[in-house]
Amino acid sequence: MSVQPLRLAPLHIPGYAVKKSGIVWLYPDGAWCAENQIIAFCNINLENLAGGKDNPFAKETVLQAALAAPAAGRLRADPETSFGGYLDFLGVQAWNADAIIGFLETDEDATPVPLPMRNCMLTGKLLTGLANFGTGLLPGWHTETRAWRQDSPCLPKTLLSLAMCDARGPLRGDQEAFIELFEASQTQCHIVVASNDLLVPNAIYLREQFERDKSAFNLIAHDIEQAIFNGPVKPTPQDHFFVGLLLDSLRTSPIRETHDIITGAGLQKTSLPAAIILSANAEQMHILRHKTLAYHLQIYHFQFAAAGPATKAWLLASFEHVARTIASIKNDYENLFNAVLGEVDAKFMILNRMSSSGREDLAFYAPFDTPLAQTLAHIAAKEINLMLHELTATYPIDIIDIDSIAAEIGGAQHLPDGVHQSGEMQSRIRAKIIRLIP
Amino acid sequence: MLYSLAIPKLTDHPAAIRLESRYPQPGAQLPIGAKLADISMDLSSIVAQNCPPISFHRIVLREKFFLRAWLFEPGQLCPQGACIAILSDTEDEPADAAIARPARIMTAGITYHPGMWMGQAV
Repeated sequence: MSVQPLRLAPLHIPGYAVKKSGIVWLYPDGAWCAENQIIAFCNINLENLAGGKDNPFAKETVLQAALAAPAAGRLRADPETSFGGYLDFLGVQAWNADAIIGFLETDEDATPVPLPMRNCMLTGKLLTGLANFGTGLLPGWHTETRAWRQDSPCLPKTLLSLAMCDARGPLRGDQEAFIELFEASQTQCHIVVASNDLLVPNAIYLREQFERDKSAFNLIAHDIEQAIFNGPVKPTPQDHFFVGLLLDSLRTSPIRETHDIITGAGLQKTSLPAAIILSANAEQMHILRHKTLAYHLQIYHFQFAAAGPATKAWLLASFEHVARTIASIKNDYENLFNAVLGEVDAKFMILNRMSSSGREDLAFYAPFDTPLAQTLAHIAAKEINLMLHELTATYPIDIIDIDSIAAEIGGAQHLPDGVHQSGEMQSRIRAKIIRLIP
Repeated sequence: MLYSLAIPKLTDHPAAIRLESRYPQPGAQLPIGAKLADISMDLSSIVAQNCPPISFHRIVLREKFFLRAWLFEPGQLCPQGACIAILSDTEDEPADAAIARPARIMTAGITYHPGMWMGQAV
């Protein structure tokens, strides 16, 4: 047996002093840890040496280092590394890469050499500074979260998820902090997950968001401002929250964004995404279209309850329902791919749809109007899955075959509503995504 | 004889099932294949996720009946097995007769449509 000291990995950013909170250990002293297992984390604070509050992560507020074990062994955490209370949240101590933070008892005989922890960096863009609450991993309400390995020797490529929770779960995992993703692979990819909490990220919405310029956005914002704040229905605080999130969703496309990251080379700026994840589940058969400005949106049904009365009145008066067909959805995909690929060298990964269900006991199809895909969810899913295969002939698309994974391990148990997966199914999807990362 | 239109058993998990749409009016003569109602099923209580796992289903009749009365309104929660409507095989069957059995139905997963109670805001 040997006892290997654990130390922090170097974390240098020219022009900034790196401060850290006390270390929060995720496992008790004596726990057995696998190599690459996230065993602790701390919050990071960057102090601008030139003075002022500017720093590359100023908009994201939360910056954390999740610490992965560099080898397998029994954890012996140094209790002096945790301060308790707010001091395990606030960046109060200089980051010192020579500091020993604990030990690993390993089964092998080896000369004790301090092993650097592996830093997995986490950050998130808060919807508003008011959403900066809570403690733990990635606390607060984020419109976008990011993760990457800090020890990456070169600038990592970006994997951007614009998908629904069918990809968010496999990517962010049970604690929404990318832990399973880091533990499952050594991927050097920079992962960006757009939250899409309010609007369904379907192809037509994403294309309009990508192509919308500032003047088009200002027209939308002006219309909303007039309708909500000068309209016939008095707005409530719920209206303010709802349209605030709505405007934030419509303003910019995450596809156009680059990000600052800290790597072994210091502070670097990422390129535009090399891969973009989409959900076929987002392509539903109805969508709302603004009657005069002609933009589209689809609000998650369950989020309507959060809208205030002025917002509901505006939605009723200003939007019309538009039916979609498989052909129009295909056209929406093509328009999205053409628009994005004209500017970004990326490929797409699309999670397809579960296309069968044990809950159905259909004996005949006569009661349902044709085309059946307009009404029957699993016919629509089958046709959309086939359509995705057609698109792969023309566009750089990898299909994450949810349909076959669920069929193989059991849809009723692992995908009870057709969208939200079990942990086992998420791990299979995660592995598939990791294999497809460019 | 009277027959019940019962919410089918869709899952072994705890689920919130809501009546979303009713199609025929009381008194209507219903052929085999008549669409009766749409329901939603919310599995939030078993799957902790960022959005509620909601699916939609249509109940279709497999026998010929008359619709006598609806017992639930759109928007109401109705447990699995709950009787949401009364059917009869003649138009003038006494309303106080005993329920003979549940009507034979089939259930299909459907896509969301704006006529559902859930979408009434827009």
